[in-house]
Formats: sequence, structure tokens, C-alpha cells
Amino acid sequence: MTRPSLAVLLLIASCRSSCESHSGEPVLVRVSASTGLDAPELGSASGSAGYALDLVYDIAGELVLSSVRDGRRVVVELKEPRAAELAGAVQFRSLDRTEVLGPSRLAVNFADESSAAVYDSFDHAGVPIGPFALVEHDSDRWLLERRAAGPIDAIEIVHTTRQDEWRRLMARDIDVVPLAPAMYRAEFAGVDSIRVIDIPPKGDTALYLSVTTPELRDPAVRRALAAAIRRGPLARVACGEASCGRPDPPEPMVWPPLPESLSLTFLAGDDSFLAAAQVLAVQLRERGIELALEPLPLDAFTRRGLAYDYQLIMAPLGRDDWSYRRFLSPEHPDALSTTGYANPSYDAAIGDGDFARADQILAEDMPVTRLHELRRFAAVDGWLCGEVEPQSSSWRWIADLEPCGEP
Amino acid sequence: MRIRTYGFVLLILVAVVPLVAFGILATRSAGDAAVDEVRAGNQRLADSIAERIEAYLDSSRQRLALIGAATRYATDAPAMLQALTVDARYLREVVVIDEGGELLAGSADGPSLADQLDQALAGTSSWSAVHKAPAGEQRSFAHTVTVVEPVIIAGEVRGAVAAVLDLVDVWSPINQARVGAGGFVRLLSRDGVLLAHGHPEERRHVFAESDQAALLTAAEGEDTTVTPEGNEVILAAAEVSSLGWKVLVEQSVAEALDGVQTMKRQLALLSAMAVVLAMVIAWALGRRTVADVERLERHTRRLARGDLTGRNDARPRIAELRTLSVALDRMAESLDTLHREARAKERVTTFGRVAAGLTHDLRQPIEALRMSIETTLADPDDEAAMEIFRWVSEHELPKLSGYLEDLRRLATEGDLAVEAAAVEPASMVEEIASELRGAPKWRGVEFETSGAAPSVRADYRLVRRAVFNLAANAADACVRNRGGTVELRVREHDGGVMFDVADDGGGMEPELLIRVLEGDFHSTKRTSGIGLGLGVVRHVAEVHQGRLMGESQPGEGSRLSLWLPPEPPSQKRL
Repeated sequence: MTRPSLAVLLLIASCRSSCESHSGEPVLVRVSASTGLDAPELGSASGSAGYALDLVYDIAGELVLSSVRDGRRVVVELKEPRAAELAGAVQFRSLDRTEVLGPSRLAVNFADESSAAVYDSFDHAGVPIGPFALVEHDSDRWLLERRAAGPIDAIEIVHTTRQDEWRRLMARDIDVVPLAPAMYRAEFAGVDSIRVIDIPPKGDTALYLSVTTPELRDPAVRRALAAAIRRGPLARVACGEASCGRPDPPEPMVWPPLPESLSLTFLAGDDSFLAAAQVLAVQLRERGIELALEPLPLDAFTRRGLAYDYQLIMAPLGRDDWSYRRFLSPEHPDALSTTGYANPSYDAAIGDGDFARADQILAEDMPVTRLHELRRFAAVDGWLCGEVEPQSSSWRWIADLEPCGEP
Repeated sequence: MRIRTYGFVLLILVAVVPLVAFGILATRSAGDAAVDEVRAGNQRLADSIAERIEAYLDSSRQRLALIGAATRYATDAPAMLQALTVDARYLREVVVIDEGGELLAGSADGPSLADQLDQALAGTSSWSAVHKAPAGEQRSFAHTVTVVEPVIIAGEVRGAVAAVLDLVDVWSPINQARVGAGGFVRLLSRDGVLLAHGHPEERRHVFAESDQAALLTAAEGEDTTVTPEGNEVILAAAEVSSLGWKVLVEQSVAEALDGVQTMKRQLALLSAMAVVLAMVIAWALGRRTVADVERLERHTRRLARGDLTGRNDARPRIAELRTLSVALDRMAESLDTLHREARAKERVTTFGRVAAGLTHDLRQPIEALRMSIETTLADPDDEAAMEIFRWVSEHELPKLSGYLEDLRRLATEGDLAVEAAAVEPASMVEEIASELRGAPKWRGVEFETSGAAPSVRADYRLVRRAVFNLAANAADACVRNRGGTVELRVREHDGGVMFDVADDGGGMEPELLIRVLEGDFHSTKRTSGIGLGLGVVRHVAEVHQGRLMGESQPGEGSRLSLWLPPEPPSQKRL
């Protein structure tokens, strides 16, 4: 349960009494969430929950003058004397406590340095001053209400499956599918009353290869595994067209002995991940590798990933510089490690800003191999208008929708 | 009815009406045939699509059977099943069992084969009814059917394969079907569940609560119906026999009949063009003939008005009309000649009549003069005779001079013009009566005058002669009757003046009266004394456009009346 401040509660109360749609009825937008809606706390939320919380929490960077991190403590200088207000409102993963050091100065203490580093890298996000407030939530449903007057009065996020969410949109059971895999895009062909908005791909579906599990400790084995995968056919199944496949790495001159069995962990409930996993199983079987598929719900998936508790795990990997930090040594101050991979040469290359060299090192060590472009789209029912730019990692754009018809 | 009107009516009846009637009948008949063709076409399409669905489902079933067969005999059944079903996005929960019912591959939580196992192992494939998840927040939105296929290898059943088929799988053949420009195909389950719709927007109803059962009923009987989406369509239905699903081909009424309407419009346009063409041709060919007829008609009217000088210069093209035109000209020429001859004769007759009248009138003063001279010569000292001589000289000699002058004019000029002037009827008759009283011839006859009438414009001398002649004849009748009275009366009548001359001189028989009044009478003095004098009266009446009337009572007397209008005709010539 969140800890809304009194000010937020008052805002909600005023909104409930005054917020009305253009037709007089409160405007409610129903949004699908294909991953779980557990853990509505910022910093611990992931998947749909994390994306949805962008409607609740604002990036407070504009309030921050400067910040200094010392281990597990981040001292923040504010532009305005709002330290007391923000100290009570900060929400983040592994938050220990906040201290008000002055009218415009507060300290945020975390349970571990990693959380502190993440918080610092998020530009001190965690202030619930977003356009909506989370007023009700459980694992299947969240209800957000607008804090101040706006075109949409409330957002109801309902848990559904990938298979069902596009159907529910067709049936007008929900109004927005914020993030759907490309394989379902064709289902909306010709449906003029549904607006399909492609989300610019910023990453790929990647296969992370554990560098710590005995079967995959040898980089040559990892390279051979990566080379055994035919990405074109996988892409055709997973994202609907072969063109979204990433280039296949070169095959080894000599194939090393490959493990007889491996497990593949992936996020349950996503048909594109499932399809990719099944194709991987078929392809690796040809190399004598029996791949056990392990679909996991989001929380378990996240937990296992962060704990490096997998042999193979399929997850998104961005193409921005920030993504390189995943492969920094865990003890590196800027590391966002989810693999346990550590190579001082790589760290040095990143430190030098030599990303080409960093790619080379990764290609040699193969802690990860990209499979196909992660193509997603958002689908919005025609009664909602507004120039929006859906993002793959944030649902903040939903707040910019406005009704232009009757639901 | 004028010839143009007649021609127009004829054209309407002969060309326009039949063409219009043909157009209407043809359009109606073609329209009905086209509608039937539309319906038949849609029915053929429905049947074709139903067959296509049947084939598609059959191929799905065969594919499942192949999957089952491959899996049944694979060394690694689960791996084989996985490899074969990765691409089958709409085949879910596939399980393969052997002939003993033991699970070889697939999830144990897959579809239950309990109800269909015996059927499958007996070699019969089966399809469940469409499973539409119940309404509720957590329902699955997929319509599915459970398919069970026997695995037949080398002629015997070696197992079975079952799967849940997501019915989005059958959208493909429905989506590809097109009916005309805007029609679509709809697929309904046996219970009226919408499974697929060719229109992308309508497809949204597949996953919504949409009552399509009424449409099923409508497809059975009605030709057109309104879909749940509110469109009026022509329906054609066909059944997917293996599952009892209904393929409905729907085409909007407007679009289905658009071709019919276009054809009707074209037929109507063709008919209208034919009518216009007929009228143009009729006008082009007929206007010359109509003009010829009208020209003949105008020419004939002119002839009827008495203008015999005109001729038809332009000859009609039609032979009969040309003959008529030539004949009319000849007739006009003949008539003109006859008319001229008649006028000449009339002039001679008129000349003769006037001359005869003048001669008649001359006789009286000459006779009076002769008698007076004889009487005077017989006894020059007789004062009475001398008085009469003086009277005759004063009264008859001037008249004689006037008559001679009229004769001269008639001989030199050919006619006597009516010299109209104001005539006082009462004074005229008084003067005449006075003259008659003094005439020795009519001693013993009483002459009386009476009446009054407004003056009229007339030729004084002619009117006086006419009235004098009437009175003279009346006096002669009295003389023959050994005395009597002649009454001269004037009165206003019908805007003009009536001169009545009545006598009690014995009257005349009706036949004689008629002949006297109509002028068909040639008498001698010996018969009645009525002759040329009345001819003058008739002539004076004619030139003044007056009338001569009379009545007589045999044994009693007669009355003859001369009526004159207030104005004579303009410059009437004798």
C-alpha cells in the first residue's frame, strides 16, 4: 500500500468532486497489463507495474539542484525549499529512510549501494507528483485517479494475457493496449476504429548466457551456442517477420562439445517470448541440446534474473549506452549487472567510452547474444485521441490521451 | 385539330408510347432478372465459401493428424510435438495419445479426450461445439473448438491427437472473401455465435456479446434484413456441413441493386434517346409535309376569302398534295375568270337595270308632259289645262333633266355613285305626296303622309325615286281598283328609317308578292303595272344595304316598305 501524503489525498478528493468528461460522465480508460501488477512501489515494480507507475511518479530531476552519492546514501540539494514534503513522499526500492537536512536539502538512505546507484541514475525519481494517483490496487487490477482536472478522470489497469488483450480491445472491453508484440499487429489490419501506434524499437530480445553456470563457463561454448541459433526463422515466429532478426554470429571453426541440456528462463504470458523459446528449443535440439523451457511470472523472473539464477534467460536488451552498464563488473560503481559477468578489459573500455571495443569483448565472451528486434506497438480505441508517443518502458503517454468520442 | 397537333399525337401514339412502354417493361423485367442474378450470385458465393471453409477445416484436421502421426512414431514424442506445433499459433494444448490412451506428448492438462476417445480410436474424427467462454471479467476471449483426430498409420488406428483450435484460425478465408465492392462474409456457429466477419470493423463483434441468432433466422427466409450493425443487406446462406456453421454472404441492398439501378437507368436512357430520335426523325421528315399542308390551307383560306389572284409557287413533295396544289391553282384561275365575267355581266346587268329603271322613271314625266301638252293644245284657253301644264313644267321637266343626266353619267362613267347626304324622311314623303296629288294620272287617289323619323344619310335622288316608285305603284293599284288611298308613312326602325307605302288597291296574291319582292319578275304594263319601277326600288335598297319588304292581303290592299340604314356603305357603286 502506498503512503499518499495528505496533500495527495486532498487532491484526489477534489478531483473526484470536480473531474468530469466532456459529456458529463467521468472518463474512465481501461488499460491492459499483460504482466503482473504486484509491487506497486517504485524501485521494486517491474514490467507493467513499473510502466504504470510512471503515471504516478514524476521524475523529480527538475527539482534537484545537485546530488552526491556516498555508498548507500544520496544527499540531494533541491531548487526549492520542499525537503520536508519530498522526504515523506520518496518511494524507491530498498529505501531505508530519509533525512531532512535543511529546507532544500535531504538525504536518502538505501539498504544497499546498488539501490542507491539506481536511484541516483534515475535522476532521483520517486516523487509521487505524477498526473495520477494510485487509489486502489491488487494483483489483477489498479485504479488510478487524476490528481487535477484533465481529459481523463481515471485509469483502470486490468491484468490480462497477451493472447487476450488484443481480443479484449477488439471487443471494446479495454481501451488501450499499451505494449503488444508485433506478432499481433496484423489482427488490427483494416480496423479503422483502433489506432495502432508503432513504438520505436530501442532494443532487442536477447539471450543472456550465464557465465557462472558450469555448463556455460567456457566462452567458446557460449559462442557456439549463439552461433547455433538461426535468428531469421526465430524472428519470423516471434515477431512475425524474418527481417526483425538480428544477424547471426559466425559459426566456430571447430564446434566445442555442447551441454546435453540447458534451461531457458523467460517471462510467462508473452507469446513472442514463448514462441522464441520454442524455436530455440527446436534449433538447439538439432545440436543435441535439450532445452527445458521455464516460463516464470514477472516477480520470480525478476528475482531469478537479479540473482543470476539461470542458465539461459531471455530478456530485453537495449541499444543505448546505459545497456552497456549491465555487463560492468558487479562491483563497478556504475554497474547494473544482471548477469554476474565481469571483465576488467570491458570495464576499461566502457570507462574510456570505447563502445566498439566493448562490443568486441562481448562478442568474444558472449555473455549475451541478441536474437531479434523487440518490436512493439500500442493500440488505442478510436474514441481516444491525442498526439501521443508510446514508449516501451513507460505508460506516461496514456495521460495525454483525451476523449474524442463516446466509449 | 390542326395537322401539327395531329402529327404530334400520332407520333406520341405510334412512337413514344410504345417505346416508353417497352422501356418500362424491359427495365422492370431486366431489373427483376438482375436481382435474381444478384441473389443467385451471392448464393453461389456463399456455397463456394462454405466449401472453402470446409476445405480449410479439413486441412487443419489433416495437419493435426499428421502432427499426431509424426509424434506417435517419433523417438522423442514431446520434442517432435514441440517442433511441429511451434508455427501453429492457433493450435493449442495439443496432446497425442497412443492406441491405449497413454499420453505420449503434450500437457496432461490438455483437452480431455474422455468423450471423444472411443470415437477417435474407432477411426472417427470429431469436432466439439464452439466453446465461447462465459461472460465475466476473467473469461478468455477466444472462441475455440476441440478437435480430435485418429492417428492412422498403415491402415490402422494407432492413437489419437487432440487440440484446441483457436477459431481466429478460420478468419483467413473469411477475410479474403469479397462480395462486390462493399459486401462481406460472416461466419456463425450453429448457435449463432459470430466466429468471423470479413469486415474489419464488424470483426470487433466476434469477441463481444453480439446476438447473431436473429440473423440466422433471417438467413433462412427473408431476402433482405438488417444486420445487428444496422445495415440493410441481401443475405445468402450456406452451411459448413461438417460443423453446421453458417456462412452468410451479405451485400448491402444499395450496392447489390446498384448494378440493377444502373442498368435501369441505362435502359431508361436508351428508351428516352429512342423517343427523342423518333421525334427528331419525325420532325425532320414531317415538317416539310406539314408546312406544305399548312401552306395549302392558307392558300385555300385566301381563296375562300375571295382572293383568287394568289398561286402556290412552292409545290409539295407529296404527290397527292402536289396534285391538290395544282388543282387549287387551276380552280382559282377558273374562278377568277368566272368572277371577272360575272362582274362584267353584273356590270352590264346593273347598267341595264339602272338604265331600265331610268327608262321607267323617264316614262312618267314624259307621259305627264305629253298628256299636259295634248290637253293644252286641245284647248289652249282651258285654264285648268294650262295650270296642269305649268305644274308639269315645274315638276316633271326638272325630273326629266335629272334622269337624262343620270343616263349620261351611266353611259360615260359606267356607274352612278351613291351621293350620300342627310335625308329628312318626313319632308321627302310629303314632297312626294304633293307631287303625286298634282299628277293628273292619279286623280281620284288620296295621298296621305304620316309619321316621323330621324334623318339618315342616303342618296336623296335615288331614295326619292324609290319611294316615289312605291307610291306610284300603290296609286296605280288604286286606280285599277277605281279609287283608294295611298298612305306614305315614315318611322324609325332598327336604327334606320322605314318608308311604308300602303294602299287599299285590292292587294295581290302571295306568289305575286314574293316574286315582286325577290325581283324575279318581268311584268308588262298589261299584267300588273309592277315592273321596272320596283327594280329601281330593289336596286336602291341594295346599294344602301337596306331591305325591301312587303305584305299584301288579296282583295284588300298591300304595303311595301323600304328600310334604309342610318349610313350607306362606303362609296357603294351601282
